[in-house]
Amino acid sequence: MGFVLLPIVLQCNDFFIDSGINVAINHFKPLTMYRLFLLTGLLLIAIGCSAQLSKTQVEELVTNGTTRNWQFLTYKKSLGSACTGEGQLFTFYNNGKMQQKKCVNGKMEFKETSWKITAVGNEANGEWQLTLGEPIEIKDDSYLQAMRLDLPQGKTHCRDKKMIWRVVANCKACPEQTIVLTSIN
Amino acid sequence: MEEKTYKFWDMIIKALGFTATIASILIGLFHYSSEQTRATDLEFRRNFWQKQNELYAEVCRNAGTMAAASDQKEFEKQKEKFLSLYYGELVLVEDSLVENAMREVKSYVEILDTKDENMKNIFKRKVLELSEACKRSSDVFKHYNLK
Repeated sequence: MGFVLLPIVLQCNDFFIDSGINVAINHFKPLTMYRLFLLTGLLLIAIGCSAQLSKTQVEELVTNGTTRNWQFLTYKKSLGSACTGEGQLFTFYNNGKMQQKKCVNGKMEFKETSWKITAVGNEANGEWQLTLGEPIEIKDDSYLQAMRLDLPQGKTHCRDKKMIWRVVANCKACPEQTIVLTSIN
Repeated sequence: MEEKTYKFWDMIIKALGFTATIASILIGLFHYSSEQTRATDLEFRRNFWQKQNELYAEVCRNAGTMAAASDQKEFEKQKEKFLSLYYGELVLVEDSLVENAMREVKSYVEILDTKDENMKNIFKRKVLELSEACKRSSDVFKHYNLK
C-alpha cells in the first residue's frame, strides 16, 4: 500500500512545485507537505491496524462466543472426580468467569476466578493482556496472574486453536514464561 | 640604600621571579594535562558512540529484515543473528530503553507465526519501537556526552 501512496504524495509535491499557485502557497508548503506525510502515515497505520484483532474479537475467540475449553499439556477426566495427566484444563465463560482444573494425585483440583482482557499500551496496537482475578499455579511454584495473550490464527476450524500466554521477562537474565494452550472445542 | 637592605630586596625580587616562573610552568602543565584528559575522554566517548551506533544500526537492520522476511529460511537466519546480538555485543552499549525494546522483540519472536498477518503486524510495530528506542538512545548519549 505504501508503494501506491508514496507516488501520490510525490506527485502532490511536483504539483506544488510546478503550478502557478506555487508562489502563493510557498510560505505554507513545508507545513502542507508535513501534513500530507502525516496523513499518509496515519492511513498506513489504519490499514495495518485493520488486520489486527479487536478486543471483542479476542474475547470471542477465547470463549468461542459462550464457553471454550483450553488445555495445557494433557488433562483427562476419568470416572467421578478421578483424573489423569500432568496438564490443566481451563474453561473460559463469556460472563467473565474462568475455571481451572488440574490433576493432583489422581484427584481433580478445581478453582474459579474472573478474567478480563486489557490492551497493552494503546488499544490500536492490537496487543492484549489477560488478567485473572487471582494468581493461578501453572507449574510447581510458578504462578501467573497477568500475561500477554496471543492467538495465532493459522487454523480456521474451532478445535486445536492455539492460545499463548506470555510473561515478558523483567531483565535479560530473568526467566521468561510461555504457556501454549490448545482449544478442545 | 644600605648594601644589606639592597641585597635583601634583591633576593626577595629574585625569589618572587623564580616562584612566578615555576607557578606558570606548573599551571601550564596542569592545564595541558587536564586538556589531554578531556580530549582522551571525549575521544573515548566518541568511539563508544560510534560503536553504539554501528550496533544499533546492525540490530535495526537485522530486526527489520526479520519483519519483512517473506521466506522462513531467511527469517530463521535473521532470528539467530538477532539472538546473538541480544545476548552478546549489544549488552555492551545498550541503555535501559533499548534493552526493554529488545526484550519485547525477543519475547515475541519466539512465538511468532510468520503466516499470521495479525501477529506479523504486531511484530512490525515492535521492530519499529526498537528502532525508535535506538535512535532516542543515540541522541541522548550524544546530547549528554559529546558537547
